[in-house]
Amino acid sequence: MAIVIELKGITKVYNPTGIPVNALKGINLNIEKGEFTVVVGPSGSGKTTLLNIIGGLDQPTKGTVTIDRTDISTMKQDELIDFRLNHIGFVFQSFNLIPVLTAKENVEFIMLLQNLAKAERDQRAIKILGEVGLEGRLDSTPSELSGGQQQRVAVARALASRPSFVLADEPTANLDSVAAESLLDIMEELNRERSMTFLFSTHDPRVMKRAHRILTLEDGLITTDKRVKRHPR
Amino acid sequence: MLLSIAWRNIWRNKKRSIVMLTAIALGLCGGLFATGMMVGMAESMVNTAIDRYIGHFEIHTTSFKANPLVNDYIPGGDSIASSLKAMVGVVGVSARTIIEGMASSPASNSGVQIVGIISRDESLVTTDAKRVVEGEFLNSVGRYPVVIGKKLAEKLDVRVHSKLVLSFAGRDGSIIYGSFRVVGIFETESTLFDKSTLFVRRTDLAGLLGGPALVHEIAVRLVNAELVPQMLASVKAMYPTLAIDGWKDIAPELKLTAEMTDVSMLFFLAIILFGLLFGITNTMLMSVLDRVREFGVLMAIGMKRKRVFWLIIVETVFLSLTGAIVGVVVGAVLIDVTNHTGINLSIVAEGLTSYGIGAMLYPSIPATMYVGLGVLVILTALCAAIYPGIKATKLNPASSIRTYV
Repeated sequence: MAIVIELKGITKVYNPTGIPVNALKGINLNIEKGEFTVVVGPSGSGKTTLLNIIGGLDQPTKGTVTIDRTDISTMKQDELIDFRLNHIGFVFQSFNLIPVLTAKENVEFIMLLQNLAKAERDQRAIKILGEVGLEGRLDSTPSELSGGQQQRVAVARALASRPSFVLADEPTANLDSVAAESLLDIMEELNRERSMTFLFSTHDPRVMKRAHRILTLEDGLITTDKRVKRHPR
Repeated sequence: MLLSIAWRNIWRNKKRSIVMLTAIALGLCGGLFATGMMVGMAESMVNTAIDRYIGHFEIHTTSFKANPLVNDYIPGGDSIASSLKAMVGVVGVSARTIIEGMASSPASNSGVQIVGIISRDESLVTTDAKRVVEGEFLNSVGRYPVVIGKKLAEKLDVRVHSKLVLSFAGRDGSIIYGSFRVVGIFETESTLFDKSTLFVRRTDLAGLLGGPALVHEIAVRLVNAELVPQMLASVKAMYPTLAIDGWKDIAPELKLTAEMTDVSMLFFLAIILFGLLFGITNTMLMSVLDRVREFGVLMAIGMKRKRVFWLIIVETVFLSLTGAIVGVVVGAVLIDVTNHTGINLSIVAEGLTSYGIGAMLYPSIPATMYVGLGVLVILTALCAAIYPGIKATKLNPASSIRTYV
């Protein structure tokens, strides 16, 4: 399978008070297309830093990050923004939808940034929201949706830009168990049917239960890299 | 969709937006009304001067204004007046005899300008005949009637039916005395005019001077002031040897007042908008700080910093324009109503009349003012949005996403 994410010698040193903090200490990692990967680790393990670097939200002190054969380690801010728009889908813990837009408009928004025509934006938004089970809530604003529904809109938004992979930071943390399971069902299905690559950061055992690969991060290093055979549900 | 997002974002915090809109609306409404009063005062000064004496333009010999001698009259003055009366756009023409002299009563005396008129013609050019507060204008068939200003009557301690002696230099330099009877007392917006001008029949002056009526001044009233430039050009071409002056040249202080009012208008409103600038900047800054996480997410998912900046700009322009529209509409209605009803300033009438301004004020604003105001509002909004916009673009997406306000 093609490698979507390749990290080589990734090191990140923070210097907030003059005393250097080694958040990541030379990480090497390959993630292939279609993987359903989870990164776990205690607070302070470097999990957030690792995902920020993979997501192009931060840059390493040393090492290279290659997404879809493109080295993003030394890209400028605006180049990174463009790259994220077209290659990385984000799902956040707190949903982070635009509150003044409806579900459909939230999904359309990402395609608007890609300068797609209105007709195509409309068509794709309706289709994707249908895939996440929200065809009846197109015109609802986030305040009119439950937590689970909002997160499904967020997933739809992440997919609308046709990214290389989806980065989900604690996507189930603010959901009840029913909503969380329902969300994970959708993500698994997308992974299965589209070979969409998912990379999660989580503490949630429900997510870990479904992962194909579990990376454990401790003190800035990957301590375990476990591949799990899953049978289709 | 970005325009739609910007508009909807304004209403996310309704209280804050309404407070800001109200501040903008009140500031502009107040500014417009104050400006309307300034313009109304300036227009009052100009219109009362035109109505009171000068008309829209006057004709003299080239040397008369500098040195008003009795022998420096306009040759064929009555014939010129007749020609002017026949021109399109001319409402009235008054051919006047002007002599500097002295008015004496048993109580006092005063230097005056004696204006010899044909009453019927004069009433088509000025409104002095309507300003008579006692007696009548020069309609009397009696001998040597005179109409004087109220301030002059007070100074000379005379009233209607009182006798006045007018003395002035004749054509041969000798002093001529004439006994006149006060038939009317007028009062205008200008105390200076009321103190220094009196009207007699032109034929009476001609009799005292011992010859035909002399025309020293021809005053012309047009349908409206917009015709002045065009009419001046035509008349100057017809009579190139005479001095033909529009009201702005006759009374340059009025022209200066009118021009200064135009400048003051925009300057005054610019000051108000400058004050509002800080309020708008503060409001937008708070809005940005409230949405740090949101902007972080927008940049994370792929919204370029330039677009974030423009979003703030558009939100600010929408907020400012909405307040401006409300303020301008309310201000315009207020000005329109008071322009019809007038504002009674009789409490300060004495001070106003010393400037030639009437006690009833009619605020007005030229239509072009609103266009200028619209431009100023947009400029203010753009300036106000710069700092908050830059603040938003400098946010770090990674840390902003984890901000909880």
